[in-house]
Amino acid sequence: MLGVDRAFAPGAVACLVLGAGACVGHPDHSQPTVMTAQAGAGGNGTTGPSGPSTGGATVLGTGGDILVDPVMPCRVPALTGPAVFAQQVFLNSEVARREFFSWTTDEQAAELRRDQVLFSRSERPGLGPGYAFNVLERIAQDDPQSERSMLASLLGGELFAKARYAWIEPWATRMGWPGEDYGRNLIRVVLKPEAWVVLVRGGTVSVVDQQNQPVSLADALANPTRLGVIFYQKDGFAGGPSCQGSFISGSNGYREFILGNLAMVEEWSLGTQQIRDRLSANVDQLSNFLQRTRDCPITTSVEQWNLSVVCGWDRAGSPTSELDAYEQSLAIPSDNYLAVPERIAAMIETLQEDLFDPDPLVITPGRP
Amino acid sequence: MRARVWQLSALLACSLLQLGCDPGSQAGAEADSTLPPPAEPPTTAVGGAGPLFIPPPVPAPEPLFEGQTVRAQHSAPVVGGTLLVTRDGSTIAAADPDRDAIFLVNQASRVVTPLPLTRGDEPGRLVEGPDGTLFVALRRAGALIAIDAHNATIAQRTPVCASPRGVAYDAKSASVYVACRSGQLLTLDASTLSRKRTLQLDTDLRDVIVREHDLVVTRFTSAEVLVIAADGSVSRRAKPPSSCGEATVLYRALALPGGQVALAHQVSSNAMVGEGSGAYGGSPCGLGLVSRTLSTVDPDVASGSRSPTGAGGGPEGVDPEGDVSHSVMTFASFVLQGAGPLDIAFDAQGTRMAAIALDSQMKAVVAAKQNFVSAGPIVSDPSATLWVSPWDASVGAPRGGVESSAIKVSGQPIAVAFSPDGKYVVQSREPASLAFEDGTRVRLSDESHADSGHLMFHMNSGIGIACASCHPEGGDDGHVWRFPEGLRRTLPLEGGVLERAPFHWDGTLGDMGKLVNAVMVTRMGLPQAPNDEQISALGAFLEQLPPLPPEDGLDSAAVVRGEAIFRREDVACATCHAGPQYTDNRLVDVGTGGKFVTPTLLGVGLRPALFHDGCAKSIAQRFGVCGGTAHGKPELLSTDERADLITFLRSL
Repeated sequence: MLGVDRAFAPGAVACLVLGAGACVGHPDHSQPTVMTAQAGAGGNGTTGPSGPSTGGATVLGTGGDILVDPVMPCRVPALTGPAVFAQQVFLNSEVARREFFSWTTDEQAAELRRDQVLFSRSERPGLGPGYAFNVLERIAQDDPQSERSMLASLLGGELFAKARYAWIEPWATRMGWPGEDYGRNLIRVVLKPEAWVVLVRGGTVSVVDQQNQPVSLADALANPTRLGVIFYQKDGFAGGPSCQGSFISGSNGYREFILGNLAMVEEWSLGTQQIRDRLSANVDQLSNFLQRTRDCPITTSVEQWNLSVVCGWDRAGSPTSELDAYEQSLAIPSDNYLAVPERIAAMIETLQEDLFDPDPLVITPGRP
Repeated sequence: MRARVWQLSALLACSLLQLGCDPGSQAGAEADSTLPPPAEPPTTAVGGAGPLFIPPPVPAPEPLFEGQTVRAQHSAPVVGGTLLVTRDGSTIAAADPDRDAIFLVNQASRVVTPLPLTRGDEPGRLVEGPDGTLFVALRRAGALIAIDAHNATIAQRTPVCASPRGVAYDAKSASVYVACRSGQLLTLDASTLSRKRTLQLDTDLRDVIVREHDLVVTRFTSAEVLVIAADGSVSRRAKPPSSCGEATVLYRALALPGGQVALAHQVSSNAMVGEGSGAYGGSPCGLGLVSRTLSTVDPDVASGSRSPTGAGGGPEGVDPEGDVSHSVMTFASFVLQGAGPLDIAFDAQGTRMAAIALDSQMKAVVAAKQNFVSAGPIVSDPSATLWVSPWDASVGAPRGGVESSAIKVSGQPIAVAFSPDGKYVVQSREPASLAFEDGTRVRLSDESHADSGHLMFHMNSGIGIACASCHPEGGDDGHVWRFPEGLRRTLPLEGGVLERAPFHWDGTLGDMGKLVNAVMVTRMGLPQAPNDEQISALGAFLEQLPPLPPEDGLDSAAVVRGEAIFRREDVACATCHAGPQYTDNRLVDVGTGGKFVTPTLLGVGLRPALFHDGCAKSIAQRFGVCGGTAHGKPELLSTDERADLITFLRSL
């Protein structure tokens, strides 16, 4: 019977009727596509005006044709001011940051308070090394005598042997990947101004300073203690999205920061009012975002969405819509971050539950 | 050409289903026999650009069901799992929710003994207990009965919960477990049916399975699998993964040898849904909009370990993985044919499986349309296909080959089971009967419950979807669909849907006729439009579906207080949620993203998602960020008042 279904090609019919947008997911965000003429009032093809309105309600007829608004494809509203996440747009061309947030479990939060050791573990139990370290290992083995391979070897070795994943805003990593939970305790980490950022992308490494100016690999190798943080994006090199030309493909892309060099940490903290305020601000931002986008949420599949978001990061610029700014602010475009009301509401609820009564712990490494 | 279409279809079906389809097997023979005679060779004409195919005129379609309409006084939605063969093979028990009776059949003599119940009891799941005792859940009566199969008598009847669903028997503790839709999981003494323990789990429970050291409980619309530890805690939970949709509507769960569990469920597409002709028949990811799936799960083994190339893992903190959707359980899935309610069975050794596919002559009609031939009538007795296959437990899939077979079973088959000797038995609804593997049939009752509305609701429209696909048991699948105009959650149909017109969130379908035309005939591709009488019959079938019973164990005083709050003018709930259906049938913009018809609140406490876009997952979330900016005045309420209001809403 499935074979007959295929012969009938209902999917093809749907695509034809709805236009290409119906088959590839969400229409262009900035230019909504009218995909089909919908049945009008009462399904008879007429598109009469709304009935008399009382208190915001449209009065419907009682039998016969009903006066209702025709069903039309939703339209992404144009920005009338700054997007909610305009200030959090993260450009891959300007990755240098000093402030980071990292989630951790109750158990590790207790250890942090007890031992005051920020970097204590090399891997999550049973999960092995992460993608970034596998990529570094591959680069290190690629041409061992080259500077990039030597730098990759250095980063994959002792310097970041004990590390912690992070991002620049708490909300963008709290939900993570489906089925994974990184904990509900938030750590804030501030790097020293002289900290350099290592970029691991496309199967190679490069280094920039806090002004996003290139640092030569030779300088980096000569001053390894200044390598404060790794920026990694899972791309086609590691089986993630490949965004070159017209043959873009793949999914499960993401980006992240990896902290591990305590020498470049100016301060780290846990349970402070400042962290709580940041969480609370994230809740407000997400609530605003939900209200502004609820009438036209994304409708594409998560795989397609991941690909478009990750490939959009390299073309990022001034956001053209609320959704655009949101996508440019993401670190993990997983199903948990799909811009549909249910997911956003779940994120808000989770962050609200994470709000805590302050019990500050502020550590400045190297000071008693 | 007709033959070529069928061969391609068969190949695709065989490939997708991983079932062996020998050309000479019953599958091919049965399916082919449903097709009309070969068409005359197509006419050709010679034109400037070469031969031009001119299709012959297509004969006018036969009226649906040959224009006939029949109605039953009472008919229950198909739920599956209503058939049992006792461990010794001596007795077959069939629960009949239409006739409100249990039929006991002596396997050797084929003598049928009816055990009539009270009208509206709606018997559902059965399980065998000790010493020839059978326990049956009465879905609408909120009770459990114990049947003495030896003497063919109802030995005991006890109230359990408003909506008992799954039942299981644990010989070690001499306990009967009852899973309730409200989320209660009851432990009863098997002898006295007295209550030993009550657990409050998530709502919408379905089946319960006893394992060596724990219980496995399933949830219906969310298709979740919960492992319940001995102390009553939920130790693990997971749902079957899907790369292009979401697992929903877990019709049936069965224990397999070795602690594994078989799950018969649906996968609902997450791709954008079209609204044109036949749009509900497929999705861009290759399967149907709603595909029926058989999954097996090992609840004890986590899946998604990191790949050898180094997926995921890493140091402390956020740990993006992004390569596999790992789970605390291991699932294996394959797609089944057909549409609508699903029942499966395994033999005692777990080496043979059977699944009912609600086949229909619709597919022959569709194929005929492709080939410009007359389709022949769709009669009011669509048969169904029973797929039977050896089961390869090592891979969790049917073992293909010539042994796989598709057997046509007439009379609306609704349940299947295996005898201890490994032979299948099929329960049919109308006429009430059992079909045996040796080809014999036993009539269970002469009381007819033929109903055109029931049939229209459950039948495959011809493109792999039924009304019941999205509205299982007349309710809703909890799924949020992605339409061009935005997200739209499936609306429930039970509890007096005709009073809730206009239909759909946007209120564009003013009556049943428009609904059938837009959805069933157009989007679902029903090749033969129902006549007015048949549309009325469908409406009548839906109208007689009772509302969901209220949740169990609610604080009655809080319900009273909550109702008073609900009716307060300043809080403004009842302004729109008015009347017995708790809707004013109007389009209102409450600040949730547009104007939508006020939804009914009946059964709202058991809905897996609320609002048109499924934003809220609970009533409590309705009062959070999802609630909308102009949706009553809940901000006037104290925390306690809000709790009372929620309790009242859960009682509806």
